[in-house]
Amino acid sequence: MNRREFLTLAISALGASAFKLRAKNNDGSVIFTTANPAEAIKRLGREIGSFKLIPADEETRRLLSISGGWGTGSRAIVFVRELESPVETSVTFVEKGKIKDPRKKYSSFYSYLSREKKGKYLVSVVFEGPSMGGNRAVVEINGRRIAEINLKKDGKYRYKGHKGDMVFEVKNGKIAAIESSCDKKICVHTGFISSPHEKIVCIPNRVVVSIEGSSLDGISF
Amino acid sequence: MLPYCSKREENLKEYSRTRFLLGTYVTIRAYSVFDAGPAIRRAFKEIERISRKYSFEREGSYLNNLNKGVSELDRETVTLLNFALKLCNDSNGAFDPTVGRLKLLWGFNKKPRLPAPEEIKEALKYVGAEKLKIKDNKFISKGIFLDFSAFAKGYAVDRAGEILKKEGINSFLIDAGGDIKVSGEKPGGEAWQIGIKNPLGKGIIKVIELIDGAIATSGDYENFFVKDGTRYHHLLNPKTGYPARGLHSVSVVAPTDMEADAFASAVFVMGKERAERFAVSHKIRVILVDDAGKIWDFGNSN
Repeated sequence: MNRREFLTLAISALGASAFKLRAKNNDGSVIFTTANPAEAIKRLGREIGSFKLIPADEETRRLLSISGGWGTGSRAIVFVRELESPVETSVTFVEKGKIKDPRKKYSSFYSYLSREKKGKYLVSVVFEGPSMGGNRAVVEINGRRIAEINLKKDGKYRYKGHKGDMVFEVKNGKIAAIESSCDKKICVHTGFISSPHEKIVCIPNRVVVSIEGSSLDGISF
Repeated sequence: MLPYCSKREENLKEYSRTRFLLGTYVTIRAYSVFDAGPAIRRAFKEIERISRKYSFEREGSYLNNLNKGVSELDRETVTLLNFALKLCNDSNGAFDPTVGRLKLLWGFNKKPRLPAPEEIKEALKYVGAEKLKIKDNKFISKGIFLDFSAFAKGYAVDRAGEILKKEGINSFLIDAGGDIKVSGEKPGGEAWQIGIKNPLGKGIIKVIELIDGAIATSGDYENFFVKDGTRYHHLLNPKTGYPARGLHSVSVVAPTDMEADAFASAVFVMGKERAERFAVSHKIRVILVDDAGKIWDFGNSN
């Protein structure tokens, strides 16, 4: 999906009255406001898929200040930024002007919004631009590339790792480890990935699943 | 030794090998006009040697024998120890190579558990660089355990890089589970693009462009356990005996990976307030993500 398609989708999914275009920024991101973020997110979510939870950084705050939506009235902010990966949306939680670590507070973005009062909310919809090939997942076992999985087709895949079996599921252009023979299941807790910067790693099984099309040479963590 | 020259681009081939070492995935990616296979193999061998020598977990490793007072200090270890002690001093004890006893207590490498306050107090008696005693080139301070795991990975990566360079390979990237060292530009004159992982969710928070240098990250999101709603991670403060608080991740860009690795651990414990001064005095770039999710970038001359 490219930027134009995404904007058309966003505006049509939410209705011209629900979304008001607030600002168009130098980096191409667009900020909307809506009177009912829960509804807006729900409808957008149905079209685009799941949301990522991220903290707001310098750039986010800058965008917010430009759009003039920052303040005690702001509650939920959805951020979409132009990066080179498939369309994704990110969510930041703000309460009384302070960024909250989404992991600590809410397991589900929907449960958060459903509890909040209706009012004037700033919803920034940022999308990640044209895919650089995030349509294939590569499975490596013991450092050797053993399979390429087409993410466009839903399905389940079973592989034999160093410790035992692992099962992966492809759904809506994303892939996740749903079963693993390891103890800690860190790989399963990673959840669905779809972006070239993301990886599912199972050290005991010596399995690494990554998304093809990365423009990065490495990730430091 | 073949000099690297951009006119040779057409003859440059990419060599990429990955091995499971140092408890993680180590990838070596090199561009060379000749077969880089043998050099890469030798580089991996060196990483394996260092991993075994300074393993804190392995019974009978050189480090463990050193800690028991059985083995003598050798030149390589003296160099590492001097580096660690200097950093201990510069960081005012935020980084301390004698944390071994504390690490054993928390069990992060085997079975992590929350120690009782009395246990921590007892373990702290055996932590403190000033308590190290050496006689006839051996350690005689019983119960004090040297642990180099905060920078052994970075050191191993540096040494592997030196071997590649010695064999005439000047354009390479070594990635040991997020500890990264690069040399030379990629074909086409491009810098290596390294992303820093978002410690609070998915994605990347920053992309660093490197041509010669290293980056390493210390974070609270990889090795931790949660008990009664509190997260206990493996980056312990040597003075309190408990995990350092205030930051979620620290990434350091430095000339060598050993420095990047060690400095990242040190700054994580030092905290945000002391990070900027440390970055400036050590001429490094430090990128932090604090408790509030804010990103700080210190020492960035750009």
